[in-house]
Order: sequence, then C-alpha cells, then structure tokens
Amino acid sequence: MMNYAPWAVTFGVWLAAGLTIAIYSFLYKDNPFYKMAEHIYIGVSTGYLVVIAWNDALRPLLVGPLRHPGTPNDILAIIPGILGLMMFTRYFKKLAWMSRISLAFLIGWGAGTAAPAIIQAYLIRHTGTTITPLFNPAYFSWNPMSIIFGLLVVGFFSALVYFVQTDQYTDWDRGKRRFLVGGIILSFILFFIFAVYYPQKSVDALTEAFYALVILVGVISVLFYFFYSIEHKKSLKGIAKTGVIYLMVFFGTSFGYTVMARLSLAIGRMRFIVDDWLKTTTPAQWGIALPIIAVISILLVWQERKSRAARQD
Amino acid sequence: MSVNLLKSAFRFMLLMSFLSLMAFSSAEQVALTPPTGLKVLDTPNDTGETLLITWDKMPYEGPGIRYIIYRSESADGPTTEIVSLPSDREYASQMPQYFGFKKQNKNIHAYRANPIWKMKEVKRTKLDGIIKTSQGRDTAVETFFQLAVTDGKKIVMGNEIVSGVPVPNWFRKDRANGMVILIIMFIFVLFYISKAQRNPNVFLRKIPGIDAVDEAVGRATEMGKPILYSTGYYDITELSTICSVNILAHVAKKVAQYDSRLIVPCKWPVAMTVCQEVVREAYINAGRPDAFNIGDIYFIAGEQYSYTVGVDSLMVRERPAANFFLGTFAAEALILAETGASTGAIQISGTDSIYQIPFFVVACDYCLIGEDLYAASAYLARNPRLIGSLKAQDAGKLLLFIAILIGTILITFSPFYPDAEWLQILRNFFTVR
Repeated sequence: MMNYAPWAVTFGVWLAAGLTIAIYSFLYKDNPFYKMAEHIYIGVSTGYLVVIAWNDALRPLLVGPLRHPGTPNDILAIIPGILGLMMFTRYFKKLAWMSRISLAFLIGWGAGTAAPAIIQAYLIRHTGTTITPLFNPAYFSWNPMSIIFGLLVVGFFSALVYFVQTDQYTDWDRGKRRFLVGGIILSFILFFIFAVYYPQKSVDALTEAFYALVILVGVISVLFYFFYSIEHKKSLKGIAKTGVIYLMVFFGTSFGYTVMARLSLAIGRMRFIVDDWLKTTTPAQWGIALPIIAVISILLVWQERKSRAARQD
Repeated sequence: MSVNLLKSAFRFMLLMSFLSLMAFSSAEQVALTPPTGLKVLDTPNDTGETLLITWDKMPYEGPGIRYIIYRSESADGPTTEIVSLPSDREYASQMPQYFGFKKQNKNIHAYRANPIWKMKEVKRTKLDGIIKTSQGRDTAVETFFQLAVTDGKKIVMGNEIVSGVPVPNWFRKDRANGMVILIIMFIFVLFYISKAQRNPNVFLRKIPGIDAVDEAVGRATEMGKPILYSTGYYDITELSTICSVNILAHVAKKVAQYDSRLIVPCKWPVAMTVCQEVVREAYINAGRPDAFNIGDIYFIAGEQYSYTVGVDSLMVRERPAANFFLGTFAAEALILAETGASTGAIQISGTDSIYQIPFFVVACDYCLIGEDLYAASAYLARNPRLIGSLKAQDAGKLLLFIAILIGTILITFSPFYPDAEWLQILRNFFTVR
C-alpha cells in the first residue's frame, strides 16, 4: 500500500467531505456547488474509464499483440481492431454504412451469447427447482378420508375445467363460481390434513406441503400473468390477479430490503463526515480552508449568475 | 478307561472349540484380492482437464476397507498416492452426467482424477519496452494409474496399470437440455413469425402502460417541454436494451409527428450510436428529417453514478414533461425515478431487473414489469417478427406450464416407483450443469 504525505491525506479528506456535502446539497435544490461536484464527478469518471479502456483492453489486447506478435493468433487481433475502427466511419457520410456492420456484430453476439445462458440460468434452473414433491411421501398415507377428499379435488377440478371449456362458468353468478373454486381449495386442505398430517400428527409435514403448494401456485399464476395471447378477463382474471398478488408481495419485501441497504450506505457517509472529517479537523486547517471555500463560493455564484443571464438573453 | 475316555472327550472338545474359534475369526478377516476392471476414460464435456477412473465393485467391500489410487508418469513408476477412498463410496451411479442411468452403474466405482501437467514453453513478448512473460496453459501428459486395496493392515496392489490423456471436448453434451429447449423455441419462433406475416392482426393482450406512451408524448407537446428517454444501465448487447431501442423508435416517431423534442442521454457510446440511428430513421419515417437533432442524443458518462448524476441534473434543469426509463437498471433506478417524480413529469418505466421493479412501481406513473418490456416492444412496433417471437414465448410458457404440473405430480408420487429410469431422466433434464 502506498504511503501518502500527511498533508495529502488531510487534503483528500477535506476534498471528499466537501464533495459529499456538495452532492447532498441537491436534496435542497439544484445549486452551483452541486453543479461543480457533478461536473468533477462526470469528468473524472469518464477520464478514468478512458485510462481503463487503454490499459485493460486496447494496449494488452490490440496494440501489444499487433506490435510484438508472439504467436500467429496474435495477428487475429486485427479483426476486432478493424471492427472498432469501422465505428468511426460514422463521421464520413459516404462510409457511415460501414459502422452498421460493427453494430450488427455486437448486437448479434450479445443476443446469441445471452440466449443459451438465459435458458440455463432462468428457464431450466427455475423449472427444476419448482418441480418438487407436494408432500413428503414418508408422511403420506392413503386412508378412507384422504381418498374421499382426493376424489373431491379431482371431481371439482374436472368440473371447473369442463365448465370453463364450455364457457358456462363465465355466465354463472358469483355464488356458483365461489362454490366450485372454494370446493377445490377446501377439499385440497382436507386432503392434505388427512393424507399428510393425520397419519403421524406431524406439523412439519403439513408445513412442507403448504410451502410446496404456495410455490407451485405462485409460479403458475405469475407465469400466467405474463401470458400475452389470452385476455385476462372473466374466469382467467382470478389466476392473473393471484399472480399480481405474488408479484406485489415480492416487490414489497425487495423494496424494504434494499431501502435498508441504502440506509446503511447513507449512515456510512455520515460517519465519514463526522468521524473522519469533523472530529479530525484543527483550527489551523479551518484557517486555510475557509478562505479557499469563500473564493470558490464567490466564483461559483458569479459563474451561475453569468450563465443565467446568458440563458435569459 | 473311563478316565481316558473323559480325557479324550475333553481334548476333542478343546480341539473343536479351538477350530470353531479359528473358523469364526477367519470369517471376520477379509480375504483381500487385487481389485479388477480398472479403466481410464476421458471425462466427457470438459476442457480436457480430468480423467475418469473406473473399477469393479469387489465382494470384500465394507467398513475399514479403502481403495488407494496411485499415479505415475510412466508404467514403471515411481508412483504417487493421489487419493484413498472408502470402499462404500464413489460409484458411477452418483455421476449420471458421465455414465447415464444404467442399473449396473451401482456395481462400478468411479473417480475423477487429475492427470500430470507439464508446463508449456515460456513465451516472451516485448510490450512497450517491457519484457512480458506469459507461461500459457499447462499441457497434460499421458498419466498411468494403478489401484490398490487396503484393510488398514496390508495393501494389495492391483495387477492392472492403465493410462490416459484428457482430451478437450468440442461440445458439452450434458447441456443438451438447453439445446433441446432452444431448438423447440426456434421452431415456435419460425412458425409464429410465418403465421404473423400471413396475418399481422394477431391478438395480443393490451399491456397496461402502453397507451400512456402516446399520452405522455402528447402532454409534453402541449406543455412545450422535452421528453427524456433512457435505455438503461447496459450496452446494446443486452436484450432489454435492444427492446428499449424498439420502443424508442415508436416514441421518436410520435415526437416527430407532434413536433416535440426528445432527449436521449446515453451511458454507452455504442448504445448512443444505435439510438441516433433509430431516432434518425423514425424522424425520416414520420416525414420530418429536418427536425432531427443529433445533439439531443448524447453520451453522458460510462460510470453508473456519474451517469445518474448527469441524468438527474438534466431532469432538474430541462424539466422534461415525460420521462421514459426503459431497459435494465441497477441501483440508480430509484434515484432517477425519484428525481423525475419531484419535477412533476409523467413517468413510464420498464425493466427486467427484478430487484429494481419495486422502485419504479413506487416512483413512476406506469411500470412495465419484467417481460412486459419485451412485449411492449412487439406490441408497439407491430412487426411480424417481434409479434411472432412474442407468440412463440407464450407457446414456450404453455409448455413450461404443462411440464411443471406433470413434473410435480410425477415427482410427488416418485417414491412408489423408485427405480424408474425415466424419472431420473426427467430430473436430469431440469438440472443445470
């Protein structure tokens, strides 16, 4: 680690604290101090990225291999080099079409490499983890009551599918609909109680079954919400609404979680202002800093007034 | 006589008990024989880094018995022990990705071993006056393996010495599941595109927020204020950015028709170039090429928060009447949306970044959730290729829907048919390697 001179460390802390306060001043309203910090931030970050691009990409991957080729493969660096140079043809009207070749290559490469990765990461993994047993077979037992309620689930479900298919369900009043859907849910609950909980009186078994069911219903209803070929109305509205409820529950928890993380970041910055800056400052430092701050303030306000006047003209 | 008889009987009993004790103890003791069936195979689906060693299950296996694998550079040795394994572990049946689901795999041991590596020739290159040394990748040499078995007291060496060299494979066959799904999706896409080309008026469910696009552009025109459009955090190689650019084309066309002003601050130079092309084309299509101002589509900064600071300042100073945040966003989502809300602009957002959707839902007037972003691009563009792709996605979802339901039922009742090979194939299909 590099050792800096004490004055450099002090200067760095003052600069960081000043820029932090300048950025936070935006919470009040847009002002010259914020503008100064903003311009410094954008300028420095862009300059930094240019250096990174040269040191990490252009020099080791293009210029180096072409100037001192070690293997025949190094010469191949000329291909991305040419593609990159073609981007600059945009500045010449007659040659501007050439830049589209580089863009087409980039977009095609992006879509092509993303597709298999997305299939593996999202589609296969998610489907695989959703396909889990609805209950632990170790706890499961067929008994007269579970058979009765199992048959009721199948019966109600078949009736629901039949009536939806024949479009009779949509003409029904709310009471009849509730009877059919409620019948499925109630029979399902009783089936689980008699088939999974009752044999061994295990609450864990019932909890596991409940979790598995919640996940299955969630995945299917959310998947259905993102189905664009069918209108979400009448009988199908309920499934889409269930999907929306799942989404909102996730959004709520995710929001709270992230806000907590952001708060800890803000606390970190406040601690820097108090512990690393305010508590370490000396009257001598203030004596040097205050005139500098005053000069900067005057210059900024003068510049702001000048540019405002120019805008009004 | 009787005493002699008694003595003989006693001696006989002693002898018998000694013999039975000997017999019992010899039954306890394991008669180790050299392990058999040693083979070396190239590990499939890898980049040539490991070898698979297999050998037969032996009858004397049990607690305390261990297999030892030795490795050497030549058949004559010297050998080095690489691993000592308990005899009741490491079966081929535990590695279905290499050996499949054959029943006999339970009777074959398998172990993934490293070969002996040799350093490649050192390559030196001169780069800007500095000599750089690169050692390249090591290469694997032919490696010899021998197996032994031990009960902790003695070691019995196997008679076979086998060798192998790992070979890099061109294809990862264990990822064939992804390939199958990709092919199915390709077929769906091609089918639905041809269908959409025959009949462009294919039904697509209306997405909430889509109508608000025209409303927002109209409002900005009435107020005489500009419209701000951000394509998000990622470059044009990201799918969401490509979709966002499709929506940008529609917004730009409306802006050109209404004679309003569109500002597109970009985080990536390449994305900026594409945006400029798309907006220019939209203005030409709207019959207003003269109104196109390339200076309104510009690069702000390539770093996340400096870009955010730039866009925030833009919103506060230019006071756009409508803000569009469509694409993939990261931690800057809330900062952008909150600043936009404070300026009183109508805000339409959409992202596939699930952790940022909550912020957009909270701070924006309309939000396209996840896949709505892709659907919106097809819905607005009304391009047969995009509509066909969207329809194909729906068909894919339907397949998933069925697969999840049937799969869940089969897995739930799987303990009733534990040896079913098709069940393991089903599990394997939905496993990521």
